[in-house]
Amino acid sequence: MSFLAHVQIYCFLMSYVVSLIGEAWIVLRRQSKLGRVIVLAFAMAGFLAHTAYLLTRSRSAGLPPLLSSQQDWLLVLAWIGSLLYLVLLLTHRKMAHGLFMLPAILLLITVAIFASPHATGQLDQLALRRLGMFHAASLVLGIGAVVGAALSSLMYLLHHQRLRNRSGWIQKIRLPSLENLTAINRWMVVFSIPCLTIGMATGFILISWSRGLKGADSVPWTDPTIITTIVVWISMIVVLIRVLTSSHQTGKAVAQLSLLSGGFLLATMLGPMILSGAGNLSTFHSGSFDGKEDNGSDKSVDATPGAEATPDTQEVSP
Amino acid sequence: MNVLVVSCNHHKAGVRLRERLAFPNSEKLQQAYHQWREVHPDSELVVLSTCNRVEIYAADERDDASVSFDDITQFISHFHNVPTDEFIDSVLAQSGVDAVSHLFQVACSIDSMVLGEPQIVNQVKEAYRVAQEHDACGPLTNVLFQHALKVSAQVRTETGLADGRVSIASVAVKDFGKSIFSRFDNKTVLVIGAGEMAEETLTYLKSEGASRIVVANRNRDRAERLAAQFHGEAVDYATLDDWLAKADVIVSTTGSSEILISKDRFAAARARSDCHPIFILDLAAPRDFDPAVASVDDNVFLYDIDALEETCNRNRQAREAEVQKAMAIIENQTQVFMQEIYHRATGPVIHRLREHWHDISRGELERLYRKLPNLDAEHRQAIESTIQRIVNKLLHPPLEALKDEAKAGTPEGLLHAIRRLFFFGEK
Repeated sequence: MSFLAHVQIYCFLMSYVVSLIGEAWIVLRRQSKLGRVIVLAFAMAGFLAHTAYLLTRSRSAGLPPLLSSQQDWLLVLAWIGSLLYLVLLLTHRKMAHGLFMLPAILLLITVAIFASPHATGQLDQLALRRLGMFHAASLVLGIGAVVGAALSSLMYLLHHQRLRNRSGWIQKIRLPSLENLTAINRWMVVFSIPCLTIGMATGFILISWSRGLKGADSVPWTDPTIITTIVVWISMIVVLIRVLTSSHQTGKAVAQLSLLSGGFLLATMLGPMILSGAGNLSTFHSGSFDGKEDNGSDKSVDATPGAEATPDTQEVSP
Repeated sequence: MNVLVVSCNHHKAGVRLRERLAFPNSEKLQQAYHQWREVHPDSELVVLSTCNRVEIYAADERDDASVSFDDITQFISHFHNVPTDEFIDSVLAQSGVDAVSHLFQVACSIDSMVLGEPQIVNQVKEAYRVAQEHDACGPLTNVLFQHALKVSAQVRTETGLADGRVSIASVAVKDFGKSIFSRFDNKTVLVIGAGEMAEETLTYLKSEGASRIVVANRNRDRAERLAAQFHGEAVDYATLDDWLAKADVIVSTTGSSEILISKDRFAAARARSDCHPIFILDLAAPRDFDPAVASVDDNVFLYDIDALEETCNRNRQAREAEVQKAMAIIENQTQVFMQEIYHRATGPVIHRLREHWHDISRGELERLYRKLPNLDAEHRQAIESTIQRIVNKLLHPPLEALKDEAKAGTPEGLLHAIRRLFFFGEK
């Protein structure tokens, strides 16, 4: 099994691409058992390669993937999506979940390629590492739930269109009922709020703690990641309020709002990651932040792809 | 012999036109039969009016029958006050063998939107029964419709056409209802109308778990009967608007000739609800719900009979092999039927010819017995048998020729020749 240690991101990226093409073929052209088998085979191969890659990265970094780098953190998010996709592929064979989930998974992996593979925020104390893990896990789950809410909203809107207009290619897509999609959307939004809140709160604690250790003053409020997180959190609170008070609102309006906030989250979260990975943006999480208030000009630290963090200087990267 | 059909069905006409030409209730049918009889007292008529088709079958045993397609379309036009121009391009007009084959296809549900659906047989039976009730049937329509029902039974027995999900209601609930709701056991189902289609839809909704069923019908007794059958509740028709606000699923199948629920009426009811998703299945023809009801809000999902077309086409493609089998049976039975009909046309001539020749032979035998009064019984028997054989042998060639000709249609030329040759002086 030593070949698994040589797995590259592109291996599972391409497997998922083939699965997506297969899903599109099945939906647009024709249902066939062979098509289903091919989709499943490539999805499983991709998932195995994905898992092997994360394990290898984790082993070489000496920390769970969530704590090693922004790149791994994104890959964990994609891995969770891929696992969920496989489960749905096996349990709901005729549904076209893949058409929605695979593009999101591919987007996360593609952004991961451009994101920084290096850690930020030194976590050289056990307590800090544990808190960092908790912080990262909360945010991953929260963001995963927001992405799930956005995808279920997209499915809802397409399904709604299909049921109201009854024409066009959308008719060929089989999706869960509107009632189920509404329930999934609602639960995803409800679940995302505590996760994002906990993730954000622990993030602030971590920053204060690590900056205190360095002798720096306070939380860098102008850090793009911190601004983004706060804005996303506020937007999700707004969505939650609308979802919980939607008794006189149509499912379509709630779905549109969820989709908007999910898209907003992806844009605000992934944009800074790409920019910081390319060294064009200085953030606390990209490893380029110098421990003082962000002036947006420090691009020199840890921006080199391929460098690996040592266990003594591990950094947190939500 | 003359069989004609003018059909306005889901293949060529949308629900908007079909509902304008429909005969939705017994009063309209009674008027139709009465008006037809006034204009065409000697011709037979059967009107088949369902949610997917309005068909008029006219027949006449007389060869010089006067009923034509124009007569039927004019009748439809006058009855419904719809100019002929507005529907003439959307109707199918067939006669003779094509008309017979069409009826067989209809009765076998080959021509139905939902292939293999069982309701159409009952609808054909009912149309035939109502025509009989109004004395509109005659020898030809009697044989035609009875044969159609036999063919329908044969197709159901010998093919897999009726296997699986084959009712309009089941397709509607499965393809649309289950796309909106994941379960029905916590939904309120309102049924407006208490006819066969309502019963069929409730049967399927019940099998999907629907438990809270409310039936509203102008005729309270019928509502109570239907509600009792499905452990539901019959409600006062006057409270319909309250139930429009409460229901999650509405199935409407009344025989109303006007729109029952206008957009304003529905919007007013909806304003009193929490705007929950609502699945409305309007299976009536003419439609009970104004199509504009769908635009009241985004959670209103209104489907009429035409909305099922695409799903039904997929269903048809999946059963293509069974369709071929059914079509072979129909083709064969159409030929059998036509031969029977043609034989019926030749029957009186054959009977007359036999009688005529036997009369001649009996007359000649009596003359012979008078001349030879001493003939004993044995000799008389021998002579009678010989004469009988001669007559039969002489009759055989013309009768065989008639039978052969009758396979392809009424042998008008041959019948005329036989009349001229053997019944000299008759026309």
